[in-house]
Amino acid sequence: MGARRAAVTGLGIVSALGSGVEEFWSGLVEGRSGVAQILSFDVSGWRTSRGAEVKDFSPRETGAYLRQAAAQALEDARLSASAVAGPRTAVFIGTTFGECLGLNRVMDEVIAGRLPEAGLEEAARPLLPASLSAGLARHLRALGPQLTLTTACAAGNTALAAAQGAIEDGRADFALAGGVDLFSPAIFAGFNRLLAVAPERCAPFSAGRLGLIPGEGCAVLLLEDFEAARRRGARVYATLAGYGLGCDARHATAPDAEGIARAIGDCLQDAGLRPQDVGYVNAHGTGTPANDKAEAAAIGAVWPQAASRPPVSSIKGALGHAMGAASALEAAACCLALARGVLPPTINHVAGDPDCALDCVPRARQARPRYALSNAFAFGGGNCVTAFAAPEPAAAPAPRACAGVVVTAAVAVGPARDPEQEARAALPERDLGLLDAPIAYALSAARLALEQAHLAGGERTGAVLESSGELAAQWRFYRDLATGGPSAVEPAQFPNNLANAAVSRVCIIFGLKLAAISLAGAYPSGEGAAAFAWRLLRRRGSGAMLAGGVEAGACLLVLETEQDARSRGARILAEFEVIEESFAPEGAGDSSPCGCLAKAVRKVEEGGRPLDYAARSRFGGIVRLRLKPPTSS
Amino acid sequence: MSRQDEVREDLKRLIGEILARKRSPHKPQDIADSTSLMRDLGIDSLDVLQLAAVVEKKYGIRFSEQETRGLDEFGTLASAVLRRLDAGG
Repeated sequence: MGARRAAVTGLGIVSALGSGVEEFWSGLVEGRSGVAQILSFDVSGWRTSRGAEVKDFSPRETGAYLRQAAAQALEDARLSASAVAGPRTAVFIGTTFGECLGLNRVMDEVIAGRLPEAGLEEAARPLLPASLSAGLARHLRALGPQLTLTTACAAGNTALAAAQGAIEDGRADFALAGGVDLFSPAIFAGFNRLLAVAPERCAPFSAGRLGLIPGEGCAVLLLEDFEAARRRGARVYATLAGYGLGCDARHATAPDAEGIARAIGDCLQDAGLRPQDVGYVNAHGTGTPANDKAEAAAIGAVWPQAASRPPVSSIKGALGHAMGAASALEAAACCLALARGVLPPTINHVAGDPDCALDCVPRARQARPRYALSNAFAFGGGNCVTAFAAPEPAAAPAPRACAGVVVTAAVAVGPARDPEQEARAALPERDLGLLDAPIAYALSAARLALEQAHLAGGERTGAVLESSGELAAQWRFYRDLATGGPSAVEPAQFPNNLANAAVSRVCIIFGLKLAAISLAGAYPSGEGAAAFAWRLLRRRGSGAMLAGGVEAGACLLVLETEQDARSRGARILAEFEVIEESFAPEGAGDSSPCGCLAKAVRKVEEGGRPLDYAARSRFGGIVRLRLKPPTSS
Repeated sequence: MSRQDEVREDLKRLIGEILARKRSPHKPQDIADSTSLMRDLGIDSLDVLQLAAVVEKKYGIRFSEQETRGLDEFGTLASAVLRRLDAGG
């Protein structure tokens, strides 16, 4: 028997082109645009006034979009609600801004004087990003692993990567994976202040393109084991063949061709593909001058001969940039392209740009690619690329290696009276940028952890951080907008609004290029991130990850494959293993202070005895770990 | 000091704050009209946008999108600010 692989058997879509697979796909293939005058809020006084809104759906709530798309995906896969209830169903949701409109309504209460500012944090808690995956899991009674991935505009792909792992290693029979985001006045203000927004239309890869068009929506994909799907007679759109990660580690907003090419290369390697196997690339293609130029250069580096370069299209001309939902919608488009033999076009492409020497499919085209890639790149330089395979009965892949993982550093910092001052004092020679408390804690802890592990930056080290959202930055930004209008918000503040701000800054400051993942687990010490890093390292077989959580303080481990740690002579504090990840919606969250995971590692190191460790997130997630004293080599 | 000179000195001070934060070896007193903020001083495009926003707030003016996109040489920035101030914001 071959290894398990993740097949996509159901799709659910809420988009600016309409809801459901058929409206979405016919809109794309016919070259329709979902871009129009924005109606959900007043845009008078703004530089631009157009967006790709979802038009036929209410309420405008992230959770409602998700439930709708998930219900569609189940129906499309011909699965009943009872089939996915229970511990064998996983839920992974990507988002950039989570329940942003609800959060802004709470902030309006503070501005109006009806809620004290000190009460904002508590009032906002049920709306934190971690509520998305937990809310959907509770709704479906899915009790397997669940996480909300907050890797900004690569979040949908990151969720798919997590789901692929859960299906392949047999932790789940079914996984619902996708992305969701709504756009709000604050998001519109942010992109506008960065001059990233085009006034009329988004024209990816076209000469004279002026920027992106803000979009929104939701896509949920139902994944299950390929053989199991065949046995139950399910229609398979495509299989998820692999994914690639990488971090530019360069800039808060500017993309980087080298970093993008590295993520594409990583994806090809993970999926066991050669460049010439790829027959279609669904681009990130935001339509900003900088993104499209960098992406085209990266594609040129992976496929140096123009004649051998696969066709590349971006569907953002039709859907706008739906942020955390974008790569989930694009994954759905890749599955449909493979299943139906049509490449969706890049609409609005009027003139070729010599900086974007690509076949960018200006009109829908019949084609039968065997493999398709889907690119997604986030603010802060965290990139994630997925590879999909046509559903032909190809030989099952060989099982993936499972490397042993050890802890080579464990640190906790804070709470501090002035975390910003402490971070600046600890890293005096660096330009740390605009700091909010979570970013400052993350930087201070990362410096200590990398020192303790004697580890430098580079392509073999990455980071995965849990953060409960950047509420202080979001509040400052929204208050400035609500009280001073669009010109009152500062462009440099906008990236700090994103939940991946802390991990991006850590990767930029310390040059960590392997991966930059942020997730919203709401565990006390970032145990969800530690579990994520463990799975990633086991799958890759090499590398090191800074992993942990940022709350009122930070708790970080360095996890590393045992082989890498031993070959560089690192001091091993403990062996690390994840026993279980699950979901139990009833019961209270863990009130342990941030830092307890680092303490547990110390205890094992000093006491020489193994320790089973459990953590419970405020939203019902459960992680069980086993820490063992290192065996001598 | 003329108003023109005051505005120039003030802008150099704001740029000096960015340079200090970036641990740049460049000093505000070295800035001339032909100095390119990005090429000569190593200030990136996000910093330039942020500088424009801070200047707008400070002087109560608003640059057009085209002006903001064109901000790179110090002289262009200074004359854009002065032009807006003369036009009354």
